[in-house]
Amino acid sequence: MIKRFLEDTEEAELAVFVKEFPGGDVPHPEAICPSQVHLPALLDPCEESELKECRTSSRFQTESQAHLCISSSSMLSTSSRPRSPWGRLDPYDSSEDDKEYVGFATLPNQVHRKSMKKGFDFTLMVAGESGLGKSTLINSLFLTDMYRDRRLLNSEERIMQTVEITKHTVDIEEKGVKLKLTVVDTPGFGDAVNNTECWKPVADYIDQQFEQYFRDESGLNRKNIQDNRVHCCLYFISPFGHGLRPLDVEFMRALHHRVNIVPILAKADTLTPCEVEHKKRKIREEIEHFGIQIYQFPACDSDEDEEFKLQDQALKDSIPFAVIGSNTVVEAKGRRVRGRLYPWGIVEVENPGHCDFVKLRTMLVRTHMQDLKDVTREIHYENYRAQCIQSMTRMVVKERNRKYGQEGGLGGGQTGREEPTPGAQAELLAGVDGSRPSTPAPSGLRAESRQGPGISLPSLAPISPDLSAS
Amino acid sequence: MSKGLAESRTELAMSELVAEPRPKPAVPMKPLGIGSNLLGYIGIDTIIEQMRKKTMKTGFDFNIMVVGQSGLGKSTLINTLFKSQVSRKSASWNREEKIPKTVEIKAIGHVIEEGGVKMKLTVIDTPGFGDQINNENCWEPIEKYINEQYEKFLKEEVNIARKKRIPDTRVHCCLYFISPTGHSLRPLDLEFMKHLSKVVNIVPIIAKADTMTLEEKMEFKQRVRKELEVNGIEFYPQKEFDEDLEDKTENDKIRQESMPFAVVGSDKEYQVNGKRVLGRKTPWGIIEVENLTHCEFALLRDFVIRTHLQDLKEVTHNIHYETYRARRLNDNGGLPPVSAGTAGSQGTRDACDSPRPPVLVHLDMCPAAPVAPGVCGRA
Repeated sequence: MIKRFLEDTEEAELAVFVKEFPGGDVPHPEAICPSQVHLPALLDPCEESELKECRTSSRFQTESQAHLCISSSSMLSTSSRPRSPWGRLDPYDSSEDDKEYVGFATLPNQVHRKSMKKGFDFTLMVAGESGLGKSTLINSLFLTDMYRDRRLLNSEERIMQTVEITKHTVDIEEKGVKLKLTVVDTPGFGDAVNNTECWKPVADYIDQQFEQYFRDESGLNRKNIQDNRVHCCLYFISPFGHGLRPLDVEFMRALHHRVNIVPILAKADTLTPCEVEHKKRKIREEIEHFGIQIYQFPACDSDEDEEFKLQDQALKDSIPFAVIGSNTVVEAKGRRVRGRLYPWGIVEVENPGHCDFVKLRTMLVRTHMQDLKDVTREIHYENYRAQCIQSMTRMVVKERNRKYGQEGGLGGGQTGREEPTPGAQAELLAGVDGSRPSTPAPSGLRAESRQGPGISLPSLAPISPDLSAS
Repeated sequence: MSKGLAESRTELAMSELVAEPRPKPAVPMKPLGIGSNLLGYIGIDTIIEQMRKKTMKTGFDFNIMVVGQSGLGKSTLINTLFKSQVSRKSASWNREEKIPKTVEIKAIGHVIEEGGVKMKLTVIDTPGFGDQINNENCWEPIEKYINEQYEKFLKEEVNIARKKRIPDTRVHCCLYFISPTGHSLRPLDLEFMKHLSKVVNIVPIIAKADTMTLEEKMEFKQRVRKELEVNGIEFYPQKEFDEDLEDKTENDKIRQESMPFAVVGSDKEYQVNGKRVLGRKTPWGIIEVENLTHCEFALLRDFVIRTHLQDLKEVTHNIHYETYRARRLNDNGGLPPVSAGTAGSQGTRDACDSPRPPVLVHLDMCPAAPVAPGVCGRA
């Protein structure tokens, strides 16, 4: 169980809120029901959907309907109005006239309730050489024991090992909020004598998740899309080197456009505070020097309070986070803390003076989890999708040109069919090809061309003017 | 003449430890058998004193090589071992510092003096080892360097007019730094040690041991020892070279319990309990380098310097060098390589020497063809 997942103030209000509105227990169900029916359509744009053009019209509809429902509910007496945790922003407590007040400011509440019911998911990837404390850190971060049955390989087995990708999923619940946490591990990374392109399996995995999502999205049945995209990658930098090693640079450069990279300085109890500072500065310089784009914290809005801004600035200055992990609890100064017991002292994991573990946890879990997901969705996935569509279009155009360039359209059509992949991809996009449920396929889409390649590309029309020739 | 004869016969007699009747020698020498009585004090034991005096006058040299990934504290450890700035630390924070693309070999010599004894210490550093993405065969430059030193010594030895005291640049000890992952040896570590344990004395060390708690240290050491054994890697002190029972027990103890030494290096001093000690200061305590409960640096220092220094040199000379020499002479058809009489041609041949050592090193790859004498001694 995650303790102290939420800040204390939020916690109290949330508790009250949840108490008042558990599950589906709402006052005046008749009034709110119709709006609830449309809410799934309303919520999805916030979370998953990309095709906004198709959605806009329906969203306006639902908003107006919500408006009607809510204005009817605004006739209710004050006491039975939903009380939001956003105390001072609660529109119901405003002094405005009820008649001029529309009431869709409760939308966040509704989103919140829906999300609570649905639960959240988060996929975290850890990468780095073995022996840097990745598993221990994950256990410390989420206070679980995901790696209980792990067997460490000895050197001979390691010589044969190639980079694998393993996934562990765990469901955690705290104060009614459910989190489905998936940790993607990369054992074997950087361990061999020759590590050329050892990041390729990792990059391929990330691309595969994007591709699977892309295909699911373009499929007919989109109710239960599973989002396996990697939201964040914690990259462990060894504290024993002098800054970044060539392998670190190559890995980060290969992945910075695919996933949010958060660099971490592992096993920071090897270093004195002075050394930590030097290493951090050096790593930051090198990251800039090599043009690596790590995850940037979103800039603070000017209306955030001072404390939040300070906290944010402190976070930015701490990259890479110097962390220590521990699976054991030791006794220090009469308290039981997570830490490591040395003959010369005790290192406490959650002591901000000892390491940046608390900062990392704050950032990852308490403040920036949603932002990480948003950036993955809006930037990395969009990049992938754009590239994918572009390359598909190019292939289709090439094929069409070839086909029409040949003599005898039918003959060309036949030969065109022998290159099924671009045709099949185009069909998939237009949703022509049945309701195949999403299956994790290898990168090359299987060929199932039931129609000629010339027919099925209306949806690509805005991108490539050539297609109107069909 | 008679004295000369007597002396040679005495040597012979002494080696056989048999008393035999002889004409009265000029110097009264009665060989000592086991159990025979000394009629008086002879003074043989003063040889120790004579050797000491000689050594103090000539000094001696010691060549130590450090191998390991960058950042494992090699330079700091050497500085700590010899309590002086013999190794220019590569971790100078202001300087722009690059990882070399190939493994370089840098040898820096210093003369240290203590108690009237002069030591010419050479520290051979190997920056770039294990730092690249592709580290295949990164031990080859190191192997080549070691064999080159043997070659140099061999050439000097077979010279007709050779120096009284051949300058010894052979590597006596190679400290190999193991990264304290806490899991096991890395494939690169195994490869390196497999190739080089036959050519030089390797002393494996666990670097930056302040990463590990006591239990982790014990477990890691056990695992490392087991892996070294499973892979047939003989690190120094090698089992096969233990000369007598006393050596064996002492070395066994070291081999099975202490090695590989888990060390921490530091060249900064802090005040602890009123004393100034070398150590590292962290927010949770001060790690004392010479405190045996904290790390095993003191054991390493005693091992390498105070008890086994001479043995390291001897094993290098008597075993590793002899192996090399035998192989080279075999390749040459039993004849030594061309001597310094043709120094000029030797010099030009040196130019063609550099690409060749791999042939010498990998015995199984050596062509078996005999070489005619008079040709430069390369197969």
